[in-house]
Amino acid sequence: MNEDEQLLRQYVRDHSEAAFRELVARHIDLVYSVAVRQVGGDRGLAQDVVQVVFFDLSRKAQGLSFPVVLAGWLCRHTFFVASSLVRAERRRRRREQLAVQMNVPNDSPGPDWERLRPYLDEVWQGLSASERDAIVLRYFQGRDLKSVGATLGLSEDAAQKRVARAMAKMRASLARRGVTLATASLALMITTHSVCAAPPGLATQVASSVLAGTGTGSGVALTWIKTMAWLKTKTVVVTTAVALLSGIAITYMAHNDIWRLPVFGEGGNSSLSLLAKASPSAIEASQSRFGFHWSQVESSDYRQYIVNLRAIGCPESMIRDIITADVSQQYAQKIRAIWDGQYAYWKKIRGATPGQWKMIEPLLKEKRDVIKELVGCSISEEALNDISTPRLSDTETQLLFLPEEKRNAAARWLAESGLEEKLANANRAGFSSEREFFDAKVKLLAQALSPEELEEYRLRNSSKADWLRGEVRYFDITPEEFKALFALREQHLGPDGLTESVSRATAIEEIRTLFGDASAKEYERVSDYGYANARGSAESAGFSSDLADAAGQVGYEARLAVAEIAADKTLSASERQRRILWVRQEAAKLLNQSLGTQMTAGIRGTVFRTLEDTAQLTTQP
Amino acid sequence: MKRLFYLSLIASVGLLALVGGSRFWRLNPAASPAIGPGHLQPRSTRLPAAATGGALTNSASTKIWAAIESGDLTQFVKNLRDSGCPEKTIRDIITFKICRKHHAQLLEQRRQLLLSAGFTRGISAREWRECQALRVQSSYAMNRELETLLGINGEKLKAQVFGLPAIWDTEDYLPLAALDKVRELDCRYGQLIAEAKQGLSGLDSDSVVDAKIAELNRQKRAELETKLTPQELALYDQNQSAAAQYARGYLPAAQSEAEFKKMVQAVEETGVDLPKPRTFASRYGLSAGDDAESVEQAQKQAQLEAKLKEILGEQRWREMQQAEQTREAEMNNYMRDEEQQKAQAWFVLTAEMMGINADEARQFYDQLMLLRPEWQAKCAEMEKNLAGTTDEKRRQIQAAVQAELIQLAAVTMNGTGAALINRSIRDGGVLNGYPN
Repeated sequence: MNEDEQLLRQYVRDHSEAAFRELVARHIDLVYSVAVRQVGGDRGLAQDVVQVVFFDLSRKAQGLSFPVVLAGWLCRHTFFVASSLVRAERRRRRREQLAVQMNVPNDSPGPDWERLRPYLDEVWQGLSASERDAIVLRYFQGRDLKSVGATLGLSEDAAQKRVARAMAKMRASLARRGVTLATASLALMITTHSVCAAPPGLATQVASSVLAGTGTGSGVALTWIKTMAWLKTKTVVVTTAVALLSGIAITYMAHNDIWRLPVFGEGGNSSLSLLAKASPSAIEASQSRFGFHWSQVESSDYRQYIVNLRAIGCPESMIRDIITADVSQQYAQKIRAIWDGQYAYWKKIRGATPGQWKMIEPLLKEKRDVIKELVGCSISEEALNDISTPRLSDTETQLLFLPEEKRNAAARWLAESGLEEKLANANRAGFSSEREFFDAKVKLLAQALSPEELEEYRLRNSSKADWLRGEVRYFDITPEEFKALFALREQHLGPDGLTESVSRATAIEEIRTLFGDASAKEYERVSDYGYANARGSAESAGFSSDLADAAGQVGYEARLAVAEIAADKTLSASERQRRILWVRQEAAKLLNQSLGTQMTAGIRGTVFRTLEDTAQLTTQP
Repeated sequence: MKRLFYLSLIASVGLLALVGGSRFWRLNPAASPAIGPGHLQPRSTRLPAAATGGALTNSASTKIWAAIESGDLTQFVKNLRDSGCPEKTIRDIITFKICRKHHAQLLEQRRQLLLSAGFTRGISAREWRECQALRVQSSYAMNRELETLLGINGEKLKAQVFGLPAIWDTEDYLPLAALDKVRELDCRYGQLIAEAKQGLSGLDSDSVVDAKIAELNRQKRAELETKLTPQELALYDQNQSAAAQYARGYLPAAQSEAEFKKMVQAVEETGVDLPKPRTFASRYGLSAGDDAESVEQAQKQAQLEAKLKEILGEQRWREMQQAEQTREAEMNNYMRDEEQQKAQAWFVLTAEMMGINADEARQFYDQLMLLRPEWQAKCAEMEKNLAGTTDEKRRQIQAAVQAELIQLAAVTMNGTGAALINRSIRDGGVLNGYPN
């Protein structure tokens, strides 16, 4: 007879508290460890499970058929008790559990154990009773084979074979669940991690409460223990009466729809009323002035959660936001385990390293896929950033001229085509794919926009039009004239999408062709970058068009003068620099004369920089 | 007695089964199609939300949400709390709602501006600046609204809710009330400094403007000292002082807070300043004054390095520099890889646009990359046998490579392959200069 049996018999026969305390002390770590695994790491709930298991042992000890491998019995019973308790909690807690798993601290066991942990008890449960006992004794309790054999009534060799057979079955079973481990690794991991120390004092607390027949635990376990004790001590008559009465009451309530909550509209078939009726939170719901309690809406299953949110009339956009936030936060925890990404004043503000980024990228993709699967569309990190900053994305800006509905339709069309993503990923030295594949984008948008809208999209967003817009910024031009000029420009540029602009001489000729000599002369002046830079700066500083034009004229003339000096090869380098500085001073004087000295620092700066660029460009070989 | 108990128990179970069965038929739409609203389908057959968008047909349920949601966000939060909504979900809902509201406002402002500008002219610099100012104000208002409603730092909250890195959340070190004062000063003085600059860009310098800006910064500091408690001010300096900024931005990464403090102290003692933009004259090589300034700064930097070696130890300083170099090399490799991937993506996308099968194009490109060393050897050999200047040789080699690439492409990607090669070689294309 093994020691456990002796102690158990002592407890049954003599009601020996000491024997029971000894049993608790011997097995509490084992029971607690199994409980922790079964309840997904919730140590509080695990303690409740431990209470119930030992309480049951105290009640059932008499009925146990000897010989018994107590450790095996305790493991099995812990498994059942934990499953029952967890089931009640699981619905709400499952989503949070994921976060717990993701938030494994750095000093936690290695990744293999993390892979194994969720399946260990399940796989162990799949063994035969004798094999389960063998595994518990050998690895959970760390006994030698001789002791295992003695407890199981086997020789050492037979015990070894049984253990080996059980391990082989566990390995195969784990492999089917995608966890492949060598037998030695599996044995080592079970021995190392399967049993952890129960919190100090728990053994004393459990033994005392069980022996006192009350239980000092909290929550579900306490209620359970008390109920069991109560059931045991009260008369059967009372129980019978209660059972009968409850049966009658349930029938009456069901018949009269007493569970129906009044706010949910007419008819008992309103979705929310059904939700409420199916929920254990009906009492809380009746206390809420909205007639439901949010806990009825929450679900461990996102799809069900979405269904429930719809059932209370939550708008689709808000459902998308709620789910996006929830899923994003769960993935953020995973990402944080790879790269902290938190500001600390003493740390350099840096992004993730390439190595970290390689691990983060698949997670981000997975997150987007999960959100898309759940709510039908996903939102990128860039878009979330845009909302939170707030700022506008390029696509948003490009489509902004359209009415909202059209804008959203076009944006959806672009997103679904995947072209945007391809454009973002494709590049070649010095060229933007956006520009190069603009026509492809236009073709795609043709399916969402009218021909007029499409034309306006081209006029507003193509890089060729953008370039032209810059050139004619200070040239008086009507929309129709612009369209004509753009058409002519496109002819000159050809269809390849690579070249954005023509030479300055060609541009002046284009104007001459369409609008005559006087316009060409004016265009030559106002499209010069000396003029455009100075005028732009003056307008930006708040000067009127006339004064800004005067500033532009100074910039234009100064730039021509510097270009001439810089190109004069008869001058020495120092003489060129001296003359350029003189032009710079004269330009500053002229600007002061025409605009005054207030608010002109920026204009001067712009003109000086333009002169510098001109000098450098002209002197370059 | 026991028999009576068992009998009553059986009776009760029977009644329960009866009730449960009848309710199941009423609840389960699959079992009772006459009632079944779409959202009560069994989970396993449920499609993603977008495919089942008809759940909101029940006007009663819409009314429930209408009773909870309110334009007054304080009331909305209260209603959500009253319905038992967890604080986390309230934060998610409200943060999204406020951010979307401000984003939509920004969108509308920009739309008006774009529509008024038409397509003949772009947005002027002034309009652009005003837009940016509005954006900053909007961001400020957004954070304030979030903080008032939810009592958490706005930046921190947004990072939490959206699951974004909080690396830019550089303000969380101060209590909200103090932070509000700092933001108000930042906003007000930011505007005054922008006005004082008179449109001067960061590339230019003007002594009058510089003096005015320096005076404004002095005033801001004085106000800050009166508005923050000594502890808050110490925290502010710890985070925002010029020395801290220099240590964060221009020195190798510290391993600990204590090490960083030592580095900041060294920066303060040696008086190294944050780099200033070079003036026109100095860029043009004409200002002796600027040169003197940069010489002085270089001397200070040398002193700083000596000081850092002294306080951190030579060995540690070397380690820090080495770590920076390693990181930089790692970044460079990563960027190079990324460039290569982008080049491949460009090649494939271009091929697709030209009607070439994407997989074929990808295979072709990958093959070329694999063959690169072989081709390099061939080109080196060719160069030995060619006559003329380096430039002439290069042109001849490129022509030969192009011809061979076209031949290869024509075999694997039909006639269009040649056009793809020509396009990829032209003007800095992804095969320009291949195989080097």
